[in-house]
Amino acid sequence: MLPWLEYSHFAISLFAILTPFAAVPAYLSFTKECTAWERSHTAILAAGTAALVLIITALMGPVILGALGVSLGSLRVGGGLVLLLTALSSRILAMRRSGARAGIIPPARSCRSACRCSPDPDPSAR
Amino acid sequence: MVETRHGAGIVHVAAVIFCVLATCLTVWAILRFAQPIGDRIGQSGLNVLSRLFGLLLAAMAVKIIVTGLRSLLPILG
Repeated sequence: MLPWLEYSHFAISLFAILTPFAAVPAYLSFTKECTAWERSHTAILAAGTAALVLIITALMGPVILGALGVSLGSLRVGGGLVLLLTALSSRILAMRRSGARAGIIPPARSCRSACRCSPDPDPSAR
Repeated sequence: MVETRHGAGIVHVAAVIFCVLATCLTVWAILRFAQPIGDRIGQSGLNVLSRLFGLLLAAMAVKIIVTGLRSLLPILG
């Protein structure tokens, strides 16, 4: 058990890495045509997937790294590079390149195929 | 840095999982109320927040890289 400050530091770092505020424009544009139920389902799915992946890697991480023969230091350097590139490409450089509205990610597909969360109750009603 | 190693203790693992769950709950709440948040702070506000967190993310990435390099190359101190 580390000091309490370490855990709060960890939680804040995790929050900054997950960056939900950067996901808000994407989420809004992807779920523009979804019903309220589909929206909340998508939110639960996204947060639940993140939690599941984080917990599994937290519990199984040493085993996986040991099996691959990767040290924690090299994982940190590699992961830090990926994180740095993500931060630069998607958050800072891309926005500067394409102006003020770059925060909105245009939906590549229609909402019907983007959120396959529910069996459509009444397709004729669309 | 927080890490889970063998023999770290159940309290430590529980605290890590609690941190993860709390963070994901916050993420869920932000996504759940994305519409009011987006309406409230607007597109430029979202851009500002996004850039701010991007900067924070870049700084954090450099910190992680430096921690890793320190443990890989102890000569760095």
